[in-house]
Amino acid sequence: MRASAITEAEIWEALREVPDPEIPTINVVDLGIIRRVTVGDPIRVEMMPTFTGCPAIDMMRRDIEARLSVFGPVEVVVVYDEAWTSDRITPAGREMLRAAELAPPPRGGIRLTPVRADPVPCPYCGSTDTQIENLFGPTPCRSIFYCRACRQPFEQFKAV
Amino acid sequence: MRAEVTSALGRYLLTIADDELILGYRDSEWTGIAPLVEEDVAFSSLAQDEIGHARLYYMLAADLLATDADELALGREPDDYYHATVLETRTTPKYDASGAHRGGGDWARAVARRFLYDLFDDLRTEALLRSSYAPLAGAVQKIRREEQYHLRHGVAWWRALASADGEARVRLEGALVALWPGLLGLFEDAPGEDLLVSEGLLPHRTADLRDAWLERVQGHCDAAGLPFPSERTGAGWSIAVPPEVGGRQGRHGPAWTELYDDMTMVRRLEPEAVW
Repeated sequence: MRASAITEAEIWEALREVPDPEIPTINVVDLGIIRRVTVGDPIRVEMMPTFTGCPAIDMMRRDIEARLSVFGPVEVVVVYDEAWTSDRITPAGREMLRAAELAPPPRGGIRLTPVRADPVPCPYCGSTDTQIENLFGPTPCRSIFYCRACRQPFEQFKAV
Repeated sequence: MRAEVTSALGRYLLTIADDELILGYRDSEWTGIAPLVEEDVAFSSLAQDEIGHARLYYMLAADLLATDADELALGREPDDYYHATVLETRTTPKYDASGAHRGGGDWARAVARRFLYDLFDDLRTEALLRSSYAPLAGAVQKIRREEQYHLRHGVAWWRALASADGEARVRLEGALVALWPGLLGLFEDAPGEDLLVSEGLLPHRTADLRDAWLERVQGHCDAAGLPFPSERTGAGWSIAVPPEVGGRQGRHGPAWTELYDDMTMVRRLEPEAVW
């Protein structure tokens, strides 16, 4: 059957075509939420949610199942035994966040407020003359900033 | 795992899940009417996080109790919910269908309850990192990363209200006194905790977290110059008021009847709906 002929690399490549439903410039692989792919019957995909309360979890699971269904039966398992962290976003993924006009998260795990040594550049004009407005934003994974240079509010993908 | 241990762990997980769901639900009622637009966003996000954590705990409980998370969240009878009663009371003005809000909202009480509950939950999840039940230890590791934002938000508001002159400060002091028996009720054990401790699934009982919590709360009261509602004695603490218990046994007050009816309305109208 077809499942025996496909490779794990093909699955990963197909997963790169599954966008995040909230931030469609980034895909689930570059977002770092795919922990493991096992080729078999069914094909098994382990997915780590970014935030526990993310309402897009079920949607992403369905999108992954739909994209991989051409290869055969698919099982997407949402795993919580290991925490997703924002350091799992790939370098390419950070650029994809910028393309959605979101500042990527600082590296190195949780940082509750920006520090002078590592300012958060405005995704619109690039200025580092920015300030945090709210640790919380329109979705669990975003904070709200303000750029004093171009006088524009913007959002940052939270470090977690 | 022996059947009695499985059932005690499932029961204990419901206690945590219910705490998170009920506080999340009550705090979500500030959406649109918080004192600042920034807090409309923040409180909504905090509430969404807590309901997400509740969902994760319900999923863990559902595996042990052979049911599903939605059924646990919305399908139980009112006296089968085990949250502490302090979490079920309304802090927002009551919405009236005529469009006129009735009075009774208290932002200081909402801030105090959330922050002091989060200090308790931080101790609880810290202990659960050492649970021998790997799915639970893994889940709290994830949850604790998100909760750091909550604690940061809580302490900022605690300080802001305490350092304000006039009504904000008076309301915060009043909230502390009014909430105190209910907050002490957070430390009521769930049935079967002794068994879970002896089996290594919990490092200690919920009641054992109380003194560490009092210590932390006293620190935050002292730092803000707020009167602390209990007194330290030589080896322990002198607690003048009896804790408000019963929540962990499914006994709740009138606020719960109202909340339960609201919360389960969609489920009762359309049992197949998913959340």
